[in-house]
Amino acid sequence: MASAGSGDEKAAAAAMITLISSDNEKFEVTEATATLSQTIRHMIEDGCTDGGVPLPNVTSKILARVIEYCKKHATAAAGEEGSSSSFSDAAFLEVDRAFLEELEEFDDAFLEVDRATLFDLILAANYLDIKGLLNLTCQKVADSVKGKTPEQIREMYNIVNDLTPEEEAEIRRETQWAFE
Amino acid sequence: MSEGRHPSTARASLPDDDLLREIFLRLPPLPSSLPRASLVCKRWRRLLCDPAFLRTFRARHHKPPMLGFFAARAREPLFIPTLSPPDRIPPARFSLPQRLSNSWKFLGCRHGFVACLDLNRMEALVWKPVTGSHHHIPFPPEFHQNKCNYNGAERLQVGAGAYWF
Repeated sequence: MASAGSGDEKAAAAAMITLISSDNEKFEVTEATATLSQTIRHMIEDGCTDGGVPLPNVTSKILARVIEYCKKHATAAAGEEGSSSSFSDAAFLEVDRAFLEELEEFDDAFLEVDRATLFDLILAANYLDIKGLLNLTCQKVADSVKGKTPEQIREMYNIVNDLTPEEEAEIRRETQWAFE
Repeated sequence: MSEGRHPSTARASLPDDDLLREIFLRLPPLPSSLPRASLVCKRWRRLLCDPAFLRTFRARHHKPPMLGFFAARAREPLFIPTLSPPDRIPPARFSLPQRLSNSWKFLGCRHGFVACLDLNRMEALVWKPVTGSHHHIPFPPEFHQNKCNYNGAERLQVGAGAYWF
């Protein structure tokens, strides 16, 4: 029955989870948003979320960004599921493409952060086990290294060259063309 | 940003080897990617040269890039690189480990292997340019009597693997 269905949806929408950052800030999120994190999903399944979920490895600043990401991606996922029953295949594909384009734009804008924030997001995505966010942030760092010389990479990431001249010469000798 | 450059650069070093590997796995599968990154520091080099990492890298990127092709020249097959610098491999990097005799035939390339026939020495040469490994296979007696067509490149499909730098 339609009324029962909408009742279930309301119940699902009402299921809220409280996340508590390392600096003790509380964030109320829907279960759909929170369960993009496999870590939190397992806690919910184990019934360990009463009184909030403490996340001692994530600051409020980073948690707010992570929640922003999860909200957007959870909404997109829900939108895709909901649209499949009410659109023709062609219209569904159109909607699907629009969703993907919108998500891509969101992701691009989301990644416009300084390096320290980007690394904090990688650590949080890893700790919370959010595969999409981990992939997105790791890819961003990999892309930043693409086409750069070792010297440029060291400068970008403040890395000290601790290779001995012999080690360095050996690598350069084996693949000299890669440095030209 | 208000945080300024200093705090960013001071913390801009990933502490965890596992996460650094996750990043390295997403480097483009081009010949210069891993050599360049491995010259950054000892830690990067250790992680990038680890055979387990290289296996995962290969598996993740499925198909290796085409580095170039071999063309039959007077003395030996000549490597023609097709990628742009810094991924352009110089022809000298892929030169035959041993000169062929005057009478030779280029059979072709498959899966990173090159096959040639040396008609004076009556043997086939199977060569993997990337590693430099090569094998000489003497003609079976039937070949001596000119009873067979040489079509050995097809055989290279069996058991051949791809290679990454």
